[in-house]
Amino acid sequence: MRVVLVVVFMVQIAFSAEYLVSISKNILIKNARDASVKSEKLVEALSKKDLKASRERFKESIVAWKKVQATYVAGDFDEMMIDIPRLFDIYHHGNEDIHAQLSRIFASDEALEFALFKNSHKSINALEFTLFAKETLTQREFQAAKIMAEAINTYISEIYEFYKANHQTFVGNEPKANSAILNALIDSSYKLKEWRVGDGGGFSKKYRKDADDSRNEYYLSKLSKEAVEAIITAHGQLMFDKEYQNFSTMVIQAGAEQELEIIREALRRSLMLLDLDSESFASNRALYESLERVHYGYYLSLITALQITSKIVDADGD
Amino acid sequence: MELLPFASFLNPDKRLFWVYMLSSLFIAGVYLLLYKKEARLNLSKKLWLHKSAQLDYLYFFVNYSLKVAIVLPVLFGAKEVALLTNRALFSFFDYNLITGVNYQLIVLLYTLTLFVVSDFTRYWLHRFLHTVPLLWEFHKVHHSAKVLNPLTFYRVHPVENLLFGLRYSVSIGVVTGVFIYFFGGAISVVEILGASAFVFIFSLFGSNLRHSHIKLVYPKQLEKFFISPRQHQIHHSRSHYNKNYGGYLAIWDSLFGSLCFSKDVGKIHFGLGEEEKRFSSVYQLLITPFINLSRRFV
Ligand SMILES: [Zn+2]
Ligand SMILES: [Zn+2]
Repeated sequence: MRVVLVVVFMVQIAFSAEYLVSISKNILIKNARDASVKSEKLVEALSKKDLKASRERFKESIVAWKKVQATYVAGDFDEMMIDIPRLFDIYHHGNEDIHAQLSRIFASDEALEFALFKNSHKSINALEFTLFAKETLTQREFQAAKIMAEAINTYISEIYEFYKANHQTFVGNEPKANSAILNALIDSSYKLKEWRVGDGGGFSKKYRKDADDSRNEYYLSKLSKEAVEAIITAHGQLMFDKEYQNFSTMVIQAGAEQELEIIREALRRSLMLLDLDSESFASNRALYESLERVHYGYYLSLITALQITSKIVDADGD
Repeated sequence: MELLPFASFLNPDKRLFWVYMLSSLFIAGVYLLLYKKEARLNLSKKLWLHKSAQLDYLYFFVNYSLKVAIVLPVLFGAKEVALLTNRALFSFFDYNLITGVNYQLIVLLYTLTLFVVSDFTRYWLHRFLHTVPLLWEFHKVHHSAKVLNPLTFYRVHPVENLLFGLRYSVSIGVVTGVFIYFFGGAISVVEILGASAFVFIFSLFGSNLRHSHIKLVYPKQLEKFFISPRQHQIHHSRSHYNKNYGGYLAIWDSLFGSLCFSKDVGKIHFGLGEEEKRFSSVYQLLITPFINLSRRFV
């Protein structure tokens, strides 16, 4: 008996699922590398003090970063990695008014290395304010923006290095990896519909019938739609039928093909609805509802994949 | 659920799984070596070919087919209950996914909760089967066994099967719905050869002896927490129907005042006494409850 059990466990440990290898390489590592490269280019553009190029590089950076954020699983494999995204992306987390704080810092002549002492002062959101709040930037603001971009690049590169270094751990622990991916998708889809679309559009529980575009993520840079699109795209990388194996491979194996189709359909519809709309989400309730369906679809497929009904152990009498 | 009753022997989710049978046989063997006097009865033709036992063997196959037809559809409800629970929590408390938690801990917690909740609902349903007159008519089928053997476990009226199936769906559905709400995908049951670890361990320690004449008792302190095979045999005694309703755990019997220790009971008689006669064929096992009910309530 014991021998059988040991063998079963050994096989489980030694076995690394092909779809996980593919997810690690084609999605996690690739997206993180892309975001790392893009944020490095942003630093370069800022070094040259080229505002137009910097804004363009900023856009590319956030599109790349949102994909990494939407599928962020590093925290499930190392506690030290849990807080990394929040350190440089404070959307919906920073309660403090960093715009006022940054304006004060830019007006003062304190050395920037000391003035920008808080993490939030060097966040993507701080950088967005610095680059897009005004038409032109002072030398000091350029200098500050570069410090911010460097901090962002450091964090994103850390994530990239983590994924590379932990590839084996990830692919070798299938239940844990599945759980981490699914929870990333559940969490990301909730925040996508409720915060990123719902809060600004006036559909969320918190701001029902109280639309205000300025609550949108990347309102200043007018990149709200691009950010939402990037997040949906990242979900698609895991769930659509791709040339590489992805999470949908596992979902189908687990017997939740119908539920997968609900998710895919809702993702496709969300992308379509996004194209029709302006930067404002206020008149796009359908998008909110479609994203809600994505979120719901993940729970639905999870419950189906668990096959709880097959776990009938002596459901009979006594 | 497999369509063939023989599949029970190969399925670790079933009490008749060959590993559990073998371990029960081993425990019984050791017991009989220690108590040689009891070997004669336990190995006798009189016991294994008793009319009541023969009926158990036959009924096992009949009940199996009926279960597939009646109970299986109900069990699919577990998924809906899980989803409903999850949605209800969302509408009351919005979103509360706890991320970055210790994965192994959640899995252990889920498995443990599932086991305890399921055992709890099993206790209460079993108790209701005895205390609600309408239900007792159906549960009599199980208690009409004059002698006990592992297949007596399946001597249960389809209506009772249905109730146990429903109970199971609701228990597992609610627990799963709650866990998914808080922990998302971090819940897949810890399994040993496909069965929940707890059930596996308990089944290994002789669940099959609950319905047998092997008087395996646990020390009194242990019988406060776990139902010993003897304690369930006592439940089958005509004078102790209202004791030891528990499945695996004895804590519910302790808590709700229905616990009875093995050492407090002497000789016992199984069956229903006079009424047994009306449960002596497959047809009767299926139909007598309805006849009794029509006499009682119409
Ligand atoms: Zn019994
Ligand atoms: Zn009973």
